[in-house]
Amino acid sequence: MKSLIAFVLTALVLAAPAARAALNVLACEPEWMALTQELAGDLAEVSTATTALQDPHRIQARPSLLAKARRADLLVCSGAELESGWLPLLHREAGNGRIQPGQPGYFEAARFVRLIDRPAVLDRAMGDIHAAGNPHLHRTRATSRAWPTRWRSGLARSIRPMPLAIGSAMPTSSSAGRRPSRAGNSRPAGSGALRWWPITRT
Amino acid sequence: MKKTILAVAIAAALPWSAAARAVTDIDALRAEFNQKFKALQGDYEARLKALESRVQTAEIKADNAQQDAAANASPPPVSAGAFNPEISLILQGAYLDRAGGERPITGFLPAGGHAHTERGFTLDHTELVMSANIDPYSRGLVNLAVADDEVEVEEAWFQTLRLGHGLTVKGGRFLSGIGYQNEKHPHAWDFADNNLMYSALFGEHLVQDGLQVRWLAPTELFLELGAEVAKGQFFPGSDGGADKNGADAWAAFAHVGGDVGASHAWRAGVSYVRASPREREAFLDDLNDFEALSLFSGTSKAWLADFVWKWSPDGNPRQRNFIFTAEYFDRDEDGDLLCEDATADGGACSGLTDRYASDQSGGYAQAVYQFMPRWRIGTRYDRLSAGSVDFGANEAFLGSTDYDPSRWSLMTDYSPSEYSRFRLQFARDKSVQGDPDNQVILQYIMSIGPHGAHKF
Repeated sequence: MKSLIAFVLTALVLAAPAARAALNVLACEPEWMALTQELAGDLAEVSTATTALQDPHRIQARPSLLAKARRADLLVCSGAELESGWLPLLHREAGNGRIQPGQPGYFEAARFVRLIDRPAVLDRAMGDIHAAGNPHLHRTRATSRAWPTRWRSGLARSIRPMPLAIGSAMPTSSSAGRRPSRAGNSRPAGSGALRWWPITRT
Repeated sequence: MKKTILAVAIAAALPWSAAARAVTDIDALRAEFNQKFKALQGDYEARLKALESRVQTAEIKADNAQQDAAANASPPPVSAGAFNPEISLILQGAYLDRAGGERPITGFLPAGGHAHTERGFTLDHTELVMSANIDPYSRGLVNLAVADDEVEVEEAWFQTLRLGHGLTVKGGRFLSGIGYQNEKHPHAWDFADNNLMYSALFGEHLVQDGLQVRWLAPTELFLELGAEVAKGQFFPGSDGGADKNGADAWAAFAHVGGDVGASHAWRAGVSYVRASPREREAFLDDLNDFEALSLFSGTSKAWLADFVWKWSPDGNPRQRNFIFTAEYFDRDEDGDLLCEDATADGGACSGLTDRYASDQSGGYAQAVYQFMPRWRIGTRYDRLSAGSVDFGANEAFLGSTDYDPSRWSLMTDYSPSEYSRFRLQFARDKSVQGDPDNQVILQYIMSIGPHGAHKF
């Protein structure tokens, strides 16, 4: 009996770090998934809530997204009301305190930059306008040299203190951009991951 | 430096008499000149580069400073309701063309709720919704339904945000998490009126004053378990049953769901509701066609099954999408029924209390298709089964029936934006035995102000 208990305990101790081995990241848009994957490499398991064929304004908080948000250590989103049709439900219904606004587990790209096209007047007569400014950061070429750097360092700061195993393995902020990316993905990380993003203004 | 160049240039330009000596001297000078010139050029280039990089650094610094200043000076780009509550007002009204009077569903004890007896132009009720995060740990919402001479508190609750481990606790008055349609407010329904199943079970929907705990499993598959304890003063409970310490109604539900490819999403669930009403009032037509007052005391237990399936091309519902919903219930009620009438005027009931037992079921299935942006069409079929109803000794005054109420509905709606919708609906209503009705409803639903995202 004693040996059985010892065996179970050992198994639990061994299994616990394995279960937390990879940082579980849910990105709101595929562009953020790519950036996170590049920064965290094999240390993170990144999935995306929307595909490139979906309109992030219009999707619904599907059961599968709630299940993903429930397990996420980190949520990486554009913010600024781009995802207001479904993201609040992930925050509320997933029962996950880590990814709440204001927590380290919620990365909102819009907080790191100054938004353009902020309307001076808010009136629905003008249609469904984004009150905080143009949130389509993921589709827009960085208009400032500083944006990619800000996002990179901000995201790296979000990733590093997560689970202990990851925290010690993550590079410091100065070398964050130079971390070798996943095998087979030989894009030079330091040259600005944002350059290959679709250069379209929406 | 410049003087040197000048001197070298002049020296190089001056002719010398001794040609051979001159050639070597010129060569030497030229070499010296080239060397110095190159050194100078390199020096300038280095200086230029240093200057360029300094300018660039200054530019980035200035840019950063500007952005920081902007970020500090203006409100952070989060939702508009970050500090102020989201306040929204839902206007809904209709023009109804239907048979007059109340139309209680044959064979079912009428559940309270909103009996739509109006016809012609009607304002229905206006919903006022306020919600906001209370602090980092919880969120609150109030939903008031305003109509003539009444303000009804539809919902007033708080919900935890940071319990973690997939747990969420809700407390106050809330729409129960059972079934699929129960949590949807009338403005979010796909049809202008309620389906017969929810009308028969709860009137409009099951409202609970109490506590709800939900747990979301940490699995790939969506798996949600929930339990509720509540006062139980609303149908199928009653004020009489709720007048005690402890809880008089409880509910439990389980939902599973997921995606099939990128285009399909589904959710299915089972729920259970139990209440113990005491002297629950209901008006029934007796055998003399008089309206008798019945008081039921006993237990009411219902099972619900729900299924919803949504399709949209590549998961993008903007252009086209399709929603199929079906729910089914089975309810057992067991206890005593008192039937009172104004016997002097010819009412049948004599004020006798005797056993009442019923086992009834029913459900609905509906499909809604958005065939182009803004336009949707939909159809719904309702059917209830009278099942077995045992009035005991009161059978002599009330008489049970084996009539199965049913209804077909057809609707089309047009939404100029996501904040407004116009709907035209036709229904062939056979929910009342011997009195089928053709109904036409023209409805509008308008939303003013920021309104929270709707659930799946």
